[in-house]
Parts: sequence; structure tokens; C-alpha cells
Amino acid sequence: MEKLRADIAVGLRSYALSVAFEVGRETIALVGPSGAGKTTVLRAIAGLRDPDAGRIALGGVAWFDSAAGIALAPEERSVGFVFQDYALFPHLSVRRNVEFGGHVRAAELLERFGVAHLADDRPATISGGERQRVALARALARDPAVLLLDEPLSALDAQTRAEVRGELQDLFAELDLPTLLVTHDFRDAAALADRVGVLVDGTLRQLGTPQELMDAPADAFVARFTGANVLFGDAAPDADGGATVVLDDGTRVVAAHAAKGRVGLAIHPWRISLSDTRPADPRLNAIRGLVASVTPESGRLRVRLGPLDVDADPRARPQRGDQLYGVFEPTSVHVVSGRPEP
Amino acid sequence: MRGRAWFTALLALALGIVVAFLAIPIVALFTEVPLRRIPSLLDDQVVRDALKVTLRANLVANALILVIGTPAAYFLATRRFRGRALVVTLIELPLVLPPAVAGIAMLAAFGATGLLGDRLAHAGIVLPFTEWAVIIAVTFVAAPFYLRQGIAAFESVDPSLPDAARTLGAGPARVFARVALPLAASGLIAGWVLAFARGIGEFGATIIFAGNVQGQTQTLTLAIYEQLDNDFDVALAISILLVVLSAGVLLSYKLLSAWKSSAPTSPSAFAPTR
Repeated sequence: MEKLRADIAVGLRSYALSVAFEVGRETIALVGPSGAGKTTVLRAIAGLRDPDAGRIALGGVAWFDSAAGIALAPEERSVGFVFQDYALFPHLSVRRNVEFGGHVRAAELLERFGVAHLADDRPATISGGERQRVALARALARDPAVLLLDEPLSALDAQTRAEVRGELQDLFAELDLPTLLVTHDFRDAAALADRVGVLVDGTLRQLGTPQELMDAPADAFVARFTGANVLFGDAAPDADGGATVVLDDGTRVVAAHAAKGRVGLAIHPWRISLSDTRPADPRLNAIRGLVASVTPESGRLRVRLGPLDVDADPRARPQRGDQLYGVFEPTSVHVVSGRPEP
Repeated sequence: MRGRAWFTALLALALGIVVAFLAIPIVALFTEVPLRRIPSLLDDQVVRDALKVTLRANLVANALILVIGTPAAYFLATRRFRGRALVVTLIELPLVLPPAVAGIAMLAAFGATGLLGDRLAHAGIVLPFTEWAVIIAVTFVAAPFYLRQGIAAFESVDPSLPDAARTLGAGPARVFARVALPLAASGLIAGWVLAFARGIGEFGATIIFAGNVQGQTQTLTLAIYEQLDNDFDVALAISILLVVLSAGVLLSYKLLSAWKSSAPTSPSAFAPTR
């Protein structure tokens, strides 16, 4: 199994894309807002768009090397590409679509992805989830050395999405290929990928396991992307090796890590609990606020409390308009740069 | 309400004038000569020769247009280069050029004293006033119809489909043959129908560049022109033949357009709602 290495620069309209990473026998998800250059990275690796400079190599074989003047055509690279809208050939049957990539494994792949019974249908007549499976089967028919997926879940409705997410998890584990996928949803990325790279305006802000991104976000953007609340304030070191932070609204928060000056504080919603009263333990942080909304979400309640999103136990029965405290430990506070991010 | 009725009546009057003006000459063609005489009128050596020349010249011209025009249209649709707009404009020029000017231009290019006349003569090729001149004239005036439609047809193919084909191991030639060509086919056929109709009706460039010699360069339209003085009824009969042919072409073009708009060529047309 060869590793995929990419170190590329591409000039885009409003910014320069510049990323470097390595994909081994693992799945990496590139996440970020729309227009961050995620798809451009996939297209560059597939050979559909040549970078301005850099190198892309699978093991010892260069696919692209601006210094050496190498740029293999897409058909000369061993890539399986699942396009965002699947790009199935509308004039060919499901079977012919898969066979386009290679005849040898077509029948087996149709079977593997549970679409053998649709083999003679046209793509226009099958469902979104089925199209997704056909697109995967087709991408794998060529026995690629690298698998690339552009927003594999975005075209699906909520229910199919959960189903396909599970299927993709199984598939990636089974394939054991360097896999690179692009998504704008951190939850999809965390569910599917071993490592997640956060791409903003053409730059990889952080690349790490989903846990690392949540425990030690590199900046406020990454923190917010992983779902954390980010509050800004001014920090001063305290006697215990931690820091006391005065938030912009005057609230005092204690962080377990040393910090000084302008900072951002990242606190994940599931680290916060709701309370009617200020906690007795003075070491606990408490932020008072008005409950603005209560939304049920997969067995929990998503509560908007003042500046905070709180992941609450439904038994707490918070009501809109309640005055409550959001309570969290100093160790739940991650200090990030105080530069406000978009 | 009365004001509205008055306005509608005005619109209807305009439409009535348009329909009458365009339809009366066509109707007249069919009333001026008894319809049962038409088969015998068409069974004339002049008509048979003209039909032969017309079909042969158009067959060759259309073959040239399809074989050379298709890859040329694909090139223009899929590649961006400096001067592309100029090339497209040049291709479209014959659409608006008076046919007589096209005929003179071809004499200037291929005539004995023309731009390439000397070199062609040395190679033993004489084009003016031969059947090849008919073919060249028809190709010149008809090709832009096919090229224009062909460029649009290839441009309307969802670009992610050729991309997908490339990542599946297909080289550029296979992408063209297996993906771009089948997906553009209905648009290409529609363009070809238009070019065919224009070629059949070609008159001005042909009479100047190829002359009007029965059995060699006299097409159906040129035969009408000649029969005006000889036998007006034969001219009418040929005209009726061409009206029927034209109507058939127009009808098939409309059917094709309807079929094309109902057959999606891009996956986004049936992508799930997002």
C-alpha cells in the first residue's frame, strides 16, 4: 500500500491555495466552508486541474512535479473519484456505468454495493442513495490506489445520509486505501475520517484526529467548526497555573491552562450543564443567561442559553424564557488565539 | 373591458396578416397546377438530372460537414484559446453573408485566376463549373449551421461527465466517442437537419461558382430558375417537391428539439433536491 503525498499551491480567484499532507492507509477528511479550496485539492490530485507548483506522488511515483515538469493525465493516475453529484453517465445503464471503469470486477462490485438488481436501469430512474452506491462501485471498478470523494453525503436527504454514512464507514475500513474526502460538515468528517484537516481560505489550519481537533483546537475557527462555543476576553495568569479570563460582557471565567492577554475560550456544548442556581463550588464556572430556544436533537436537547449552546439532558426540562446558569469545569475550557475569526 | 377587446382584435389582425402573407404563396403553389399532373411533370429528364445532382452534391457536402465539422465543433466547445472568439465569428460569417458574395468569393479563391487557382491547375484540379463546385458551395453556406449548433451541443454536456470518464481511465479520444458524442447527439442531429435544409435550398453561390449546366451542376433550385422560361408547370412541380421536403425537415427538427428537451444530458437535471 503506497502513501499519497501532496504538497501543492494553486492560485485561485480570491486567495492562494497552499496545502501539504500525506495520506497513508487511512481516511482524511478535508473540511471547511464553501469556497475554501477543498474540491480544488481533490481535482489537483486526480489530475483534472494542474496546480501552479508543487508535487503529488503515490509512493515513489510522481503524478505531478512542477520542478521536474511531470504532469500525468487523469487516466494515467490510479484514482477513484466520486463526484459531488456522482456524475453518472445518463446515457448508459448502471452496469455500463460501472463497466466504464473496468469490466473485470463490475459484476462483483454491483453485488457488493447492492445495486445488481438495478444493473439495466438508467441513472435517472434510481434513488439518490442508489446513485451514490453506483458511483462508488464505478470509482472502484478500476482498482484505484487512491479513493477521492467530493461531498459524498451532501446530495442525500437526512435519512439516507445517516444510512450511507454507516455504509461508507464499513467500506473505508474494508478497502484499506488512502482515502481523501471533502465535506463541509464536521460531524460527517468525524464519523468517516481517521484524521480531519480544516481548510480555510486555502490554508490547512489544523490536521489531526477529530478528538485532537476538539481537545486542542488551533484557533477559534477550528473550535467553532468542531461545534464549540467560542467566547472572547482578556486573560491574566492565576496562582494555580491557570488563568482568569474577564469576558467582554464582564463575566469571569477560570481556565485550567495558563493564558495571558486577548484570548478566545472554546467550550463544547456537552461540557456544559444547566443549573437553576449558581453552583456552590467556587471553582466551577457559571454563565447566567436567558434560554432563547430549546431544540430536541437525537435524544438530547440543544439549548441556546445567552451566548452559549448547551447540550442538555432532557430531564432538566428547560423552558424558553428561563433564567439559568450554564456550568462547566475550568478543565473544559480550551484557550485559543484571541484573534476573532470569520 | 371594451379597451381590452379592442387591443386583442388588433393583435389578431396583425397575426392574420402575417399568416395570410406567409401562407398564400405556399397555397398558391398547390393550386396553380393540378396535383395529379405533378408525377408526370416530375418525370422529366431535367428534373431527374437536377434531383440526381442535388442529392449527390448534398450527400458529399453533408458527409464533409459531419466528418470535419464535428471534431472542429468539439475543439471549439471544449478548449479556450486566444483568438477563439475570432474563429467562431469567422465560422458564423457565412450565415449572414449574401450567397452571391459567397459565390464570388469562391471564384476569387478557386477560379482559374483566383488565389489558389494556379496551384490547383498545376495539380490538375479544376473546380469552377463542376459538380465539385456545387459541393463546395453547398458546404460553404451550410456548414456554419451545423458548426454553431454543434458547439452549443458539446458545450451543454455537463463538464463533470468527461472529467469522470478521465478518472475512470478513458483517454481524450475515448471520452469524445463514449461520453461527449452520445450526449451531444440530439443537438448535433438538430444542427445537421438545419444544415441539410440550407444545402438543399442553396442557389446564389452555386449559380455563380458552379454555373447552371443540366446533369452536371444544375440542382433543383437552379432547375426551377431555368424552367421559369421553358415550362412554368415543371418549375411549380419542383417547387412543390421542395416544399414537401422542407416541411419534412422542419417537422423532424421540431420533433428532435422536443425529444432533446425531454432527455436530460446532465445529471444535475435529475439530481436529488438539495
